[in-house]
Amino acid sequence: MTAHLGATALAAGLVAALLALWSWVAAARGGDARTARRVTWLMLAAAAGACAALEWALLRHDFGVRFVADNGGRDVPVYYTVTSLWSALEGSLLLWLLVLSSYAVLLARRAPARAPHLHAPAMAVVSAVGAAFFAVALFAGNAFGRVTPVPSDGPGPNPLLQHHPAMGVHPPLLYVGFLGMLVPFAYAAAALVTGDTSSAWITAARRWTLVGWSALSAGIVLGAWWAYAVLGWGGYWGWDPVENASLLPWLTATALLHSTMVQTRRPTLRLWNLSLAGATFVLVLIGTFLTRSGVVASVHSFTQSPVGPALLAIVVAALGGFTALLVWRSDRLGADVGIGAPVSRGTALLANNLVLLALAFTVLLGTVYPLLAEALSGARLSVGAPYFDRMAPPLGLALLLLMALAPVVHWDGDTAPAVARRLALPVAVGLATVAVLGVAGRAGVGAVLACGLGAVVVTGIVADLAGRLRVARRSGLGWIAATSKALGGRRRVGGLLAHVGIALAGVAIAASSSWTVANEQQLRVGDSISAAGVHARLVDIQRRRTGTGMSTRAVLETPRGRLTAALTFFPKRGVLLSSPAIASRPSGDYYATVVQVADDGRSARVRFAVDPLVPELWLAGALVAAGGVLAGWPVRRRRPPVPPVTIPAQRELVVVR
Amino acid sequence: MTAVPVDAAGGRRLGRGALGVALALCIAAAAWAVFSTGLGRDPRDVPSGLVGRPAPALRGSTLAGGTLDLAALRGKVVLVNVWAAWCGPCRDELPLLTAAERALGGRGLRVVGIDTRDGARQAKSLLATSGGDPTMSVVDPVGRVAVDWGVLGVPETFLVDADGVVQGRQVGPLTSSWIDRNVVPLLSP
Amino acid sequence: MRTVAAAAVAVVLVAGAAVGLVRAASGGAPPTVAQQTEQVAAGLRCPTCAGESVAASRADAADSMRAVIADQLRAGRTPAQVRAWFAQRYGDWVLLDPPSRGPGLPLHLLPLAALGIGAIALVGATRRRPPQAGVVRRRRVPLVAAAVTACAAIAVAVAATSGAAQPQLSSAAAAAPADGVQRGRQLEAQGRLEDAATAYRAALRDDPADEQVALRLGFLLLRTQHAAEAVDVLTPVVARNGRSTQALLVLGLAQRAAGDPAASATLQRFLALAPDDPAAGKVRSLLGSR
Repeated sequence: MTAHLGATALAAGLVAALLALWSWVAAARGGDARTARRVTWLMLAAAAGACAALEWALLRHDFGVRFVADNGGRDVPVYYTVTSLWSALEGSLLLWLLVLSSYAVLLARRAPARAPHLHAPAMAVVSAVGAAFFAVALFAGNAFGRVTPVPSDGPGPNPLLQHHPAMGVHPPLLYVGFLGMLVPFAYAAAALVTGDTSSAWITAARRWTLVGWSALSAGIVLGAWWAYAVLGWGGYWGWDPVENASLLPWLTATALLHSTMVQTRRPTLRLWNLSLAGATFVLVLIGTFLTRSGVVASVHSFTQSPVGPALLAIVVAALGGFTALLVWRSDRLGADVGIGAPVSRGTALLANNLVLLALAFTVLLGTVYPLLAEALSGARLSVGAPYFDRMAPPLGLALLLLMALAPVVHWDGDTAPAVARRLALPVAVGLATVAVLGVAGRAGVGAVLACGLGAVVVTGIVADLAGRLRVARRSGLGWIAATSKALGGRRRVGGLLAHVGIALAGVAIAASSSWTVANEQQLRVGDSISAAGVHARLVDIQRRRTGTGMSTRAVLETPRGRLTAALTFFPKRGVLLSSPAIASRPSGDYYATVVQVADDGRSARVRFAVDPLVPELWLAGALVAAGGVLAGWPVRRRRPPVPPVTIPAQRELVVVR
Repeated sequence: MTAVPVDAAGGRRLGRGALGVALALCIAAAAWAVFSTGLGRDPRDVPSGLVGRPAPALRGSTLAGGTLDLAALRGKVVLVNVWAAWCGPCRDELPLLTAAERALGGRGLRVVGIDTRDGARQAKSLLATSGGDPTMSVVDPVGRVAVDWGVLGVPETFLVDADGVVQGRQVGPLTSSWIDRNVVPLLSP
Repeated sequence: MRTVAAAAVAVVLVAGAAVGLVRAASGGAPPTVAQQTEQVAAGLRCPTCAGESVAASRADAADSMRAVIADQLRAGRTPAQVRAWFAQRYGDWVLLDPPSRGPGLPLHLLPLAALGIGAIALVGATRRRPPQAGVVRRRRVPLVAAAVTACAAIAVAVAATSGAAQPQLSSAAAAAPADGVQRGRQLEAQGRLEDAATAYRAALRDDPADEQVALRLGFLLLRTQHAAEAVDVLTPVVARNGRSTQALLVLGLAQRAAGDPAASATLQRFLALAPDDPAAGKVRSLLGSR
């Protein structure tokens, strides 16, 4: 019954999406948008219905439904039964559809003030993407298939996904981020189709792009935190293909946010921005495909299924369609004006794009290279963390350097000496940082440089704010008014906050990658292990059999108190879960994991690490997301004062008198 | 800006449209060709680095307490079977191996085992019930020997010919058809 | 005076930074064997995991590999030699950073090339003089588009004619024993039930002891109205493992469909073992109707 309801909801969603596409195309041709808006609501209702149906089946333990038989379990806590909707392939598609339809409804509510003619075509694109995904969920993904004979119980979701409440936040947040990139894509396509060569599409899509970008930033950092604190292999980023899939659209979206700043000031980079908008969403689709098709081996990837080829078809269609649109309409754009003087903000932003895209290209190449090499020469290769750890840091340093330079360079041409003068103090602080760290014995040129550049960025921002504050005070404003003037409005503050966050992240990443000290040792109770001068003594080994697994805990005594790390084995799924014990302070973390336990339970192989500045990384993620949200926060538009209405009669009266 | 004559612009636009579609199709086809490699493929289907090269040394103490050296079996066709008592498919394939050695031993086949990451007691009792020979299985408690042979998991079997060169590798349990196809041609008639 | 002071400060800072960088470059303490092992392990791929490195994986194979790495490093081998040793045994795919000769060369060259091309484009863009460039650009886009089309076409042609994709797929299909169950499931999911039954039969022939295949085949035969054959397939399963509730259920249903009098006894055994099974209610009503 539930299965039929769910499948019907998906079919209804497909029909609604196709109808919405039809209605929005009609609206674009001059029709009424109200019908289209209502049909878009139907799309949301269908997606919500399908999700509700599957959740109902999960909560009622209806093992006749294939998805529940594969992923549900009677002994799974209620919270994790709810989150098991997106713990496997078919259900995650339903969540994707829900988020997509929600975006569609929110976008449909009101046409953007300065670009109403782009609204309907953009909504048509959104509906088309929705229809494609409804089709995939209905025909290829088999969430509501039936299973007979009906099993009495199911295996439950993967124990790794039942371990922490953040499971309820991370995937939805990521999906909000990914699908936010649909908006610039749709508006760019709309601009191309209608032949609008201005920057109207950028203004229309800007807030949504920021929403998606902030959510994606938060999602990526949350994912890194998950890998670190819940999965316990010791790091937070493994350059796994699924992790890269979330990073790629973030890189191009960041590039888009910066290069559109140039186009809103002067008509240049128009083809470039349109291409970036297209590329960002195509990368989202490629990432979705890589995650769900199993073509690249990944610890995260879902199992193989017919969804893979279907998603590939969507990728290819989107890529081909947008390219055709670009080439077809690019002659309308005409000539771009120049970027500006060689030393100007425009050039600096273009350099930012260059570095971000080079990084994105490298990550994409590395992720896809095993496929490429096999397709072209039959060779089986793997590309993993060592490759990316070699290629990414230099580009990251270049990015930090640009982040220090660009805000200081004026838009309308500048001279190198003037820029140098403005940067004198920040550079001095940076050099001093490098000197201190190097002399104090910190190893690794890249890490020391990253800290120095981070210091330059932050000092530059603070110095700039201080200068503006001084000017504002000198012009006679009170402290509060002067501060608000110096901060300069939400867009500016949001951007500065995000930059501070990125700089802090750069420093934290450099410190924790280069200066982590880890040690692994076989310990008996009473033995000690040490790393970076910190001693941890094993005081107890406890073995316990829980309902579904066997867990061994090692209790370590450290200067920061007791840490209990656990290793749990789930025999039914053959999954080994390592739960780390972390003691956090602003200077860094103590990180303890159990690697192995001896059969007699009397000794354990323990890994103890001191990871500097890792808490700052999570703080940085929060700052970046907050900056994005702040930059996009709607400003209450002050109504222009209503001009007084002159009544001719009154004037006549006056004249008569 | 240079003015473009109207009719030329129309013709140019058509040409651009066709070019755009052609470009789009090519990119789409290239993307499909690249990404679809690996769709539907068994991820364990990886080639071994050892096939066609001399077999690594295999020397160590056996489950029965003696020693075994693969080099001493030069001149025989050897199936080197990596197994463990806790591995279900290994238990299922043991009867097949014993039967093959009994049937083809006269034609020069020997079966050698690498008992990897296993408990000696369970391993010996399993061999006792299935009729295997504990003197022919090398003990590999930490798994070093398995790593030396590039083993992906258990069960796994390597085919070493009479000259000591690895001729084949089967990931997963053996089947009689695999033995017929790969082993029998190497045996003496 | 101020410029002299500023210059002096600048010199001190630059000198200090240079010293700092030199000290940082000379590296910290030499790594211990354990740290070197973790480094080498981080560069090798765990063969039984889905893409994890040997350092991160907790699998048995990874443990063994770490032990071997530590042994070899202690014996005096360099990390590069250890990596080459593993590549010899497992193949190049075990290296997480492919060697730069052979098929791995573009991986190391292309990012540099992309950066170079981008830098040239950037310089060109900032040097652009507005009016004349417009005309040139409009004529340039079709040329660029044609060039990209040509490259893409060549890439597709190479991919198609290399034929590498085909043998991989067919060899996967030929590895029937391990894949027979998978293929059968795929065919079942596609609705090609008779083909699925053939695949299961082949898998069962290769490995008569596989209970899972027998169960799937039996159930499939029951669904496709071959009840008698289902009974033949499932009877040995039940004989071997009398506690398998699924086997008893399907065998009982098959016997009933084939008119075998042993059906009710089999179904009773199923009920005795699994009284709370969701199917138990239906089975009871079936038996009750007899």
